[in-house]
Amino acid sequence: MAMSECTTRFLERTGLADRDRRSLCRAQQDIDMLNFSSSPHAVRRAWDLLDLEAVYLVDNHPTIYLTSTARDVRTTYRRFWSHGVAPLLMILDDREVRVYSSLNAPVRRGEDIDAQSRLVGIFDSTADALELRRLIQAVETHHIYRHEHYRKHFKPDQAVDRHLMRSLAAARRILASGKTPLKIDIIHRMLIRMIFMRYMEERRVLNSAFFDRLGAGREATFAQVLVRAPTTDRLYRIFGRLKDKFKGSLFDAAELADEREYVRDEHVETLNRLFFGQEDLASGQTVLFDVYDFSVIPINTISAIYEEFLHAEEPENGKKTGAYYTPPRLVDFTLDLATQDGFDWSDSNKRILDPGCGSGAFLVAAFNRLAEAWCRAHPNAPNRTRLKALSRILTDQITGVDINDTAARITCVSLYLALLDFLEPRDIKLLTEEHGGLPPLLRKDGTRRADAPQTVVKGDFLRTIGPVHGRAFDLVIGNPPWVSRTGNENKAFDSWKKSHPTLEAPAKQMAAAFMWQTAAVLVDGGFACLLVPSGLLCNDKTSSFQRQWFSEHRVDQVAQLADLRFFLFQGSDHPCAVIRFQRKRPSDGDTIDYLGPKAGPTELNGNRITILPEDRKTISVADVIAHARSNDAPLLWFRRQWASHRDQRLLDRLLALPRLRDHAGSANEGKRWIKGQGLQPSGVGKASLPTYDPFWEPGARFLEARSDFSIVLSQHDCVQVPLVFRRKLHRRRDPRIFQGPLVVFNKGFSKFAFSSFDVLFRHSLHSISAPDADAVVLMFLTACLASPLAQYFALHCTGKQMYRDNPLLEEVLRFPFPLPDQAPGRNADTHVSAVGEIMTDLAKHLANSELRADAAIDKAKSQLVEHVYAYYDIAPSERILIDDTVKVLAKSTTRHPGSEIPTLHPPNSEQLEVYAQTFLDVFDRWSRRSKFKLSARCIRSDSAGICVMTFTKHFGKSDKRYRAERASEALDRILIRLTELLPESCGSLEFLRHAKVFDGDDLHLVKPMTRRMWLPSAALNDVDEVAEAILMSQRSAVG
Amino acid sequence: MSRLRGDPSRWAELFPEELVPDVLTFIVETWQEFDRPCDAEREPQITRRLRSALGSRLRHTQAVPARVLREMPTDGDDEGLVDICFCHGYSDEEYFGFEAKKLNRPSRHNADEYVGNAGMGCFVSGKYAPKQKHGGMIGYVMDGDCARAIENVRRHIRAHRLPLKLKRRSRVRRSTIVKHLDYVFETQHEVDGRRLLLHHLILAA
Repeated sequence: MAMSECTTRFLERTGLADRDRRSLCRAQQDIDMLNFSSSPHAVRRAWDLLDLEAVYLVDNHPTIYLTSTARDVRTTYRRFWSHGVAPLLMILDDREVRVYSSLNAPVRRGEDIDAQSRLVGIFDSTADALELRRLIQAVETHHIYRHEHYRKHFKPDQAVDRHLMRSLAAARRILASGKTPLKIDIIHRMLIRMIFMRYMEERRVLNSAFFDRLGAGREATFAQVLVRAPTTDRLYRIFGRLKDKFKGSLFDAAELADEREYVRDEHVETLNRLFFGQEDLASGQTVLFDVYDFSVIPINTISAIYEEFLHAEEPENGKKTGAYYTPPRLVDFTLDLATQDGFDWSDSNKRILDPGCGSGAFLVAAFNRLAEAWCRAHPNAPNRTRLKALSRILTDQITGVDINDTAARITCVSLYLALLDFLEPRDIKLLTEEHGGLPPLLRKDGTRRADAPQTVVKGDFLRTIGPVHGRAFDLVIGNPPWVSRTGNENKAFDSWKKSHPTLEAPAKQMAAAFMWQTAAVLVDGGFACLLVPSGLLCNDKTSSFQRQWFSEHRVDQVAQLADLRFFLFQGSDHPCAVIRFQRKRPSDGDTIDYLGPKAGPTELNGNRITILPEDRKTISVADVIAHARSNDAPLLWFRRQWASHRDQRLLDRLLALPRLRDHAGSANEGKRWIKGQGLQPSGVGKASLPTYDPFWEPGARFLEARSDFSIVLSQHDCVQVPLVFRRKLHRRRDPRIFQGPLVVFNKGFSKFAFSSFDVLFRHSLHSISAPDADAVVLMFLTACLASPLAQYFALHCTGKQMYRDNPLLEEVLRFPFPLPDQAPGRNADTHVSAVGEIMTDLAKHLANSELRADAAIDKAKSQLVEHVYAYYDIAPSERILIDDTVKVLAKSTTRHPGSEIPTLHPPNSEQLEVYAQTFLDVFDRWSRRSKFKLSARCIRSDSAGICVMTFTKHFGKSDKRYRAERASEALDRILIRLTELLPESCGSLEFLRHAKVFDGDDLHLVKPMTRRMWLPSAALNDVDEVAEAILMSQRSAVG
Repeated sequence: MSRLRGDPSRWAELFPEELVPDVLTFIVETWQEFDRPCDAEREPQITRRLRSALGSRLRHTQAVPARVLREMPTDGDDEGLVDICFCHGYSDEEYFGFEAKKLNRPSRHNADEYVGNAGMGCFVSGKYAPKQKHGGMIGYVMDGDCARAIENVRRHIRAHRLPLKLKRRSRVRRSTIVKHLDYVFETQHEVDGRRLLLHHLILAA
């Protein structure tokens, strides 16, 4: 379709006309230029169904759909929402631009299309051109999703994938309850078939002729067939006919016959009501499935959602809350990572395997890319050739394995849908009439026939399966099963472990077994990219596994997604990582590209996983192995997550010091101090376990974990030992754990106190006790643990707030704690003594006070921290790092959707000035011998969500060292200048939002308006980077 | 690796002489506050202490845009490590390396070791500072007689002009870039077509 005049004018007025084809598709054939992660096939479908005239992409992701020919806005919106790929739709005419969001509630029958915040705004095409320009800039910077004015329009929870998942779960609940509840697996199979029917009908593959043969009349639709006679007989005749028409492994005849025994007319009536009625099961309001247009929902969305069915069918999941699946964006992210070095999707010899395929989400995504590549390479291929080639991709290039029968069958359906989605109705007619239907895909367990299908193998990947093993795959991708100690998976693990007794797999983690086994099926030069639990890198007992596995495999990329876990898997807590590796041993000097994306605006809109430059680090393989050898493997990954370059230096220095674990250990380790955990009462559910008698004298003091203790324990903090502990104890505890002097702290690593007396406590508290002679050093340790330095350490060096809520005791014991003769600061003994005096005074004060003396504690804390910093020789610039970590970063980690994320807050004027002054102060010091000085000018655009800090070189001092502006014209001027300097940006803020550019006497730093980018610690890192660039540019021969 | 774009050459004048004078001055000033070693203390131990003092002072003063690292392998080989390495703050690439030797020990002047393969030889062989145009030698003068120490060094350098790849007609001379400091000298070398300026800090123990 030719672009209309009003769309052309719109592009010119908003500056989009300058964009190249990487970011703006002006015609349908431009979609062929998109890379595979941009969902080109889905965009092509939307282009037709939504009458699109242009598609604007940000970060390679289709973001704004533009149309001026929407005949029926309601239908257009319904399709746009069901499509769910682009978050914004702009409907243009000569007078105005209407902007809609797909991240909002679907439009229901009789409802106003502009209600429910679906309508983002109506703009006058001419008068509001500048505002539209700013809106587009806000889209380019992703600022729109957190912009005060716009964010209410973007609710990821209302996106089509999550909505459909809720609808399916609600349907399951209804069918599984009532007088004759159906079994869950039968419900799932029925729902999958119903959606298949709806998809085929809405794509006009199943037409009235199909239903006419069922005696429903010439004009019949699926809905009419069911509405007229909602009987089991009628429904299963439809299913049977579907099976006969499409053949393949779509539906199993025996399965249909078996189900028929259980399904009653009332179930069919319910299904009919759910799919074609007006009752909303989830909320009691109108409409459930008729809000969807199945012809436009991307198949990868549907196949991903089916994964939730598999989780629901696992018996132990009855106890769990929340439903989850591997979201398509995570599948795409993994595939992009796997193939970033130029995997040739058009090579028909490439073979791809998913060793634990689940519902087939990864295989569908891989098929889409292979099929897209073939179609691009053969644009004029006749229908028959295309049909044959795409079927061949399915049968020869893709293989999935799953031990679960339902999973294998769902994968078949998903792959069939993927194939059919690439075919036009006339191709599908050819398929059913000339080619004998869909190709068979399912290979049943134990099948040995050579000609049996090899696409979906029902079996155990950990055992040798004929068509799978033998180094046959160029790419292995997927989300292998995670730990399971029950059922088949456990048997599979045990069997694998028996035949591989020397290979490490911590905590019987199935994913670890898959990581080992994967190498065996890779061709030389092939890559594997697996989604595995973060615990395999971050758990404390994984060092020996990491040492062994990283020594045997060449890992070149690790993406740690723990910070996004509540965004990726809503309602469930699944910290995960993606690991890319090859079947070969690492060489000297090999490095790993470590990616640690954080929750940002793109996560807020449930869209893409974005990796900021700050979240990309390099780790040497040798370092991984060395850390693993010293039992510190998790530490390496923790400290690469949030730490900047400056943080790394500070951590390097701190971690070179003796650790707390050098002095403290379990009672049987014979160390100077004893570490331990509190008492656990014997109780319900522990009847079969041995119990132990209490060991303390009557009148012993007890500290409740919820008690508000701080710095020094007083008698007032303690109570009598609760009754529950006076009977029997669950675990044996060494009494020395409770002997003063000791330092006690909670599991959350937020409360610490020194106790000079013996005190009992429960197992949610830990202690380190020492001989009397070490009382003062123990006081100093308390001061250290209660200081921001320890909180800084906890964020960067433990799993706290990255991987789990509380650090493990073993992680706490990694805290650097030199004894006074080992301390880096001068006069260490003096500081220890001073701390001892402050704490002794505080103890006296507290002993004489019935009430908590908060003011005295706060005063003591502020004094203590100075001694701690002096002891560790913490420099002022290092205090900036600690403060930023404790005050901002630590409050922004692993957040839930909808919660506050301080790193994403826009910085205020004062904070921007502090950033600039920090930069200037350090730079002035370094350039003190120069006749030139710097000044800074800050231009911020709150609407576009971007800030440009320009540093300018002057001869002599500038009159004003720092200036701030909010002028939008000034921002436009700078952006035009940057576009001249970086022509590849085409003026898009997408490419400029992290630009750092020298321009004559100016240096422009362009960054999003988020607090993290403009922290004082960011200024320190930026000034280092700038100085290095200048000095490196001078590296030439001496004259 | 830096993500900065554009040409920073006009910004070079903010860091005159690539801050080499600042680094040399920084070391000399740090030495003035340093607990002086005695001959019983081995050179590596003195260097370790000096490195630690430099690192601490640099963190507190931020005198130059660099960090002081422990001995850094230059070629993956554990042998032959730069004693004191100033690295760029951002990428950790080596910026300025120093080799340290004792001079004027009670039993011997040690200038031969200072000049030899394990001393200046490390720089002229390209083992140290293979891409840099500056390098440095630090002499700990154990008897405090810096004039005698530099004279011994000067004599040995003269005697080994060729293996030290000294630039033609050049000699040991007072530093041309830090004229305000006593006992800072420099030698010019031509190493595989690359000019290398070695700075000699003669520090009295």
